[in-house]
Amino acid sequence: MTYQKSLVIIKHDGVSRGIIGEIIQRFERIGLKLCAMKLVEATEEMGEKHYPTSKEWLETVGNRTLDEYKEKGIDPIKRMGTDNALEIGKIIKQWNVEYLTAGPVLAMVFEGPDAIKLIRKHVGSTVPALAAPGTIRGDYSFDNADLANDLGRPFYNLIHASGNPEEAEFEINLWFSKDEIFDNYSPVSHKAMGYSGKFASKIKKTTEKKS
Amino acid sequence: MLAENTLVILKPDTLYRGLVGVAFQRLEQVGLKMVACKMMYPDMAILDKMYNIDNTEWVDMLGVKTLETFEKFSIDPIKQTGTADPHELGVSIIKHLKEYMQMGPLIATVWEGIEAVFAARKVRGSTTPITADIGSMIGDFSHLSQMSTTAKGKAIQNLMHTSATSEEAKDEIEIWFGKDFTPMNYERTDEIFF
Repeated sequence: MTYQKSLVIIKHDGVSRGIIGEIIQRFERIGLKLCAMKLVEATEEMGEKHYPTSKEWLETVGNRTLDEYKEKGIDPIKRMGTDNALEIGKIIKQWNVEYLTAGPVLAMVFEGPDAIKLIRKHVGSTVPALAAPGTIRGDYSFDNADLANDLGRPFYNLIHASGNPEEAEFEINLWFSKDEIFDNYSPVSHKAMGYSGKFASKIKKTTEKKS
Repeated sequence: MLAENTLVILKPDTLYRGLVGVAFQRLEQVGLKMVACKMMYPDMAILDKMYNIDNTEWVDMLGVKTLETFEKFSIDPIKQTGTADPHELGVSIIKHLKEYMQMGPLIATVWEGIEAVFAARKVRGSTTPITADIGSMIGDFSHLSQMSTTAKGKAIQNLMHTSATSEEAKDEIEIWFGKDFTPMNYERTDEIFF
């Protein structure tokens, strides 16, 4: 179903820079419906759960880094103390958890047609230097992986957004309880498309039938 | 003077109209720091405390203000609302206010800064949209007056609530976030300038 929810987290660099409002405006302007929002300090446990723990995922992350190092002529043992993909994956996950728990973050759920894709598009490429102007990362970030890794942290890129429907469902359940989600209203943007009143409930029902 | 906290509520119309980001941006850009935020539907217990009908002085004041507006525009209050008694009128305004606050979800927030109460109030603008300054949130995003809203039998939908005084801020933060409220503790990157 393309009428979907997505989790968005403005990470601590976004909160501490005071650009929460500018980021939220991007999503509201598209027309997406804000269904949940809270300022929260994620616990270590939440951070651990937020990123996958499977060996496969950690090795993928590790191998990606090793490839990058090879390309740039960086010695992984000097930089990370190991050239083992799994070990590097673990270090990077730990960094990501530290980043996510560095201070208060603003967690949100947005809903709308193609919400996941739309949000990802507006967030922009993971790497700030590759993120197009007009995207949130392109317009508001400039961090670099090499410099950041030298400081013993991942590069900061302001924002997290779910990558696909399964991820969105998992992440929304991780960050919000059911009674913290308020999707039972129709903002004016949804009314303009007819996504309100009876039609909204029709959409909901179709989703339930399919799942 | 030490930093203080103030309550800011983005009322349901702000969410319906997609103006949450705009409101936050305006508060952030003057240097106020968000130290609490939650989206919610307020229950009657909270609204009864927030709009306390036993505070007769305040209820009467609401009625008197509305009567003054009626007089200014030569409107017969009895024809318009069925009463010319300030208290009765105040009570009906409060009823409409509560209905307004339950029109949809809202966002309750707490902001920190030196003189945060005054600063947030300025960002918001004065209560009545039609006379609120351009450049303020209410002035820029609404044009309503007691006239237009009373004619519709609704509260003035003015997007945003901010505490009026430091004492009110303390009381209101307790109403919306509980007695054990603890603000988030972090540093804004530009904090040194504020």
